[in-house]
Amino acid sequence: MREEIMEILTELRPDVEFEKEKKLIDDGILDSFDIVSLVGELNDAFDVSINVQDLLPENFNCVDAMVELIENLQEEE
Amino acid sequence: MSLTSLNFFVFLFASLVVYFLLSEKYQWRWLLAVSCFFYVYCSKTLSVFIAVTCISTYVISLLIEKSELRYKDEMKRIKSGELKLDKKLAKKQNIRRKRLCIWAAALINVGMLVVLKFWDLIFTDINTRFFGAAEGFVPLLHIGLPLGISFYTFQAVGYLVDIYRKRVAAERNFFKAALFITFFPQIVQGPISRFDQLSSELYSGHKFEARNLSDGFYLMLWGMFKKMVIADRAGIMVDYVFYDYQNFTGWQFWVAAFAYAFQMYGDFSGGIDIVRGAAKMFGIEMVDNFERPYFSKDIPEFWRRWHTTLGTWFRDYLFYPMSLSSAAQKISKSLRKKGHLHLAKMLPAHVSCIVLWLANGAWHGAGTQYIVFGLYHGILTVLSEEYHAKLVKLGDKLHINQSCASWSFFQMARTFFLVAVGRVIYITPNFGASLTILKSMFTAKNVGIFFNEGLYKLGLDRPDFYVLVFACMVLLVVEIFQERMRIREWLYGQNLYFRWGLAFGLIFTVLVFGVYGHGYDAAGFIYMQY
Repeated sequence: MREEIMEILTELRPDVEFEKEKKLIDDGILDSFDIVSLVGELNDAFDVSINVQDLLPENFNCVDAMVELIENLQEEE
Repeated sequence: MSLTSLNFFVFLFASLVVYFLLSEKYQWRWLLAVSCFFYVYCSKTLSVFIAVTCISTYVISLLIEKSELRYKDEMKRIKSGELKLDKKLAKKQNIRRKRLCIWAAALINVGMLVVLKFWDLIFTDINTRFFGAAEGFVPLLHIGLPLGISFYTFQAVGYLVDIYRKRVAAERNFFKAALFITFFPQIVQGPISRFDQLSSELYSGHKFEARNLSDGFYLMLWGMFKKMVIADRAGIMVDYVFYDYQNFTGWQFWVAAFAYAFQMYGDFSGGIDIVRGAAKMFGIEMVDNFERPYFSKDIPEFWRRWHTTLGTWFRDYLFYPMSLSSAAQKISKSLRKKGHLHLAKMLPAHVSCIVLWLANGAWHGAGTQYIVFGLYHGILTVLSEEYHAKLVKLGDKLHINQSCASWSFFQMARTFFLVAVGRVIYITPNFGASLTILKSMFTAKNVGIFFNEGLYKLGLDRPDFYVLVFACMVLLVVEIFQERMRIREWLYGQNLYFRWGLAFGLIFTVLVFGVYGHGYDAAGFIYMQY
């Protein structure tokens, strides 16, 4: 799952080093347009539905947080 | 009671004295009392509308929470086998109940805002066009706009949505919830605070601290400088040129458009500085609404730095729900299946962005020019998001150094130019007039005004024009420093004599160079009636 998320992120923003960044939202590296695209891709790739309630900085600040979010959503469903 | 009036300072001083005399337990009650006094003093009978917002917000917040508690109870009983109900159905019913609450809140509060803001404007136009007189077929309300109605409405709706999303718990004390909505410095023109940011600041008591008082004082002084020395002076030129636009042409409009950019910034950010300064004196921290927006390198960045609390409000409560709605996601999915990968990725965000900007335009007023203004910024934002990476690549191919100071300056100047042009779209009472002005601006030939004293015939005489230019340069220099350091921290590292000299210098500047109207009162804030 991690590799797939990395692939999506790198395709979305090739200019960002996602392995290093830990504050993608807090530091404004990903903007709202990026978030919308990313959520669409993640929903599609992992068959989950990330909704507005899940759009918290702590869920998108780094790759590991995204992995955790998706795992939690998959468990719920 | 304007934020720059003597009445306000007397009121603030008296409020502060009593606030710090009271024990911390009672301080929030006093804040509520003075906030209610302030509102009723300013708005008289129109205060009934904010009362409706306070009551409806309180009742609906409890209903949303009640629904959530019922859902949790149902889940518990389902798990224990006491209740035979499908888990998914229980979840769905909870969402439906909560959504109904949000719609009711929107209907009451946004409904009041829309009716009070647009009814008379729209029906005056319709009556005049189709029935020959403004007071024609459809009766007008003639109620006026309650002080800060947009700001407190947005704040109240945001609070309810945050409860819906379980980001905050509903406030059970009605008077505390009312204080969050009516807190007097912010009621005039924002910032639009979030409950989790402001509530603890309001409800917890504060000990008197000289540092808070002096921080607030400096912030208020700086806000008054921006408002009274820059904005109100630039406003004279703006009114003079754009109200009688038939008498001006070409470069005269450009000069007035740039003055308007500084007027808007000085007025709005100056007002926010006064608000934050007044709150700081009580020991209450409020979010900043402006992050030196004219240093932005593109339009999306500008709107992230201008009126940030409105921007994040639109993003969190309109943009995300729209672009992540099931309809948007379905369209995106079907486009992806058909192989339109890029379109699938960008369409929901782009369409939502345009809709959001149309709403933003409508918020500024009723009329074609406001819709065009919204569309202009919506399209610029979408284009910027779509082509930013491509333009960076093109720059690399053309061997343009995109990290040097001159390139950054070019980007900032480009953004300032686009913003200034955008404001001309809605500065006149009708879009036709704006088009005439824009056409004249882009076919400007009268460059001679820069050499033949023409600049001093735009409503400001030579000394006033120089004061405006000098004050704008002071603002620019201070903001350049603000980009690199915390000026207030630096200030406290200086000698007391220097700090007092600076404070007296600012007071002197505001008193001598401030623009005063009738009764030595500054002009009203532009966003006060939004």
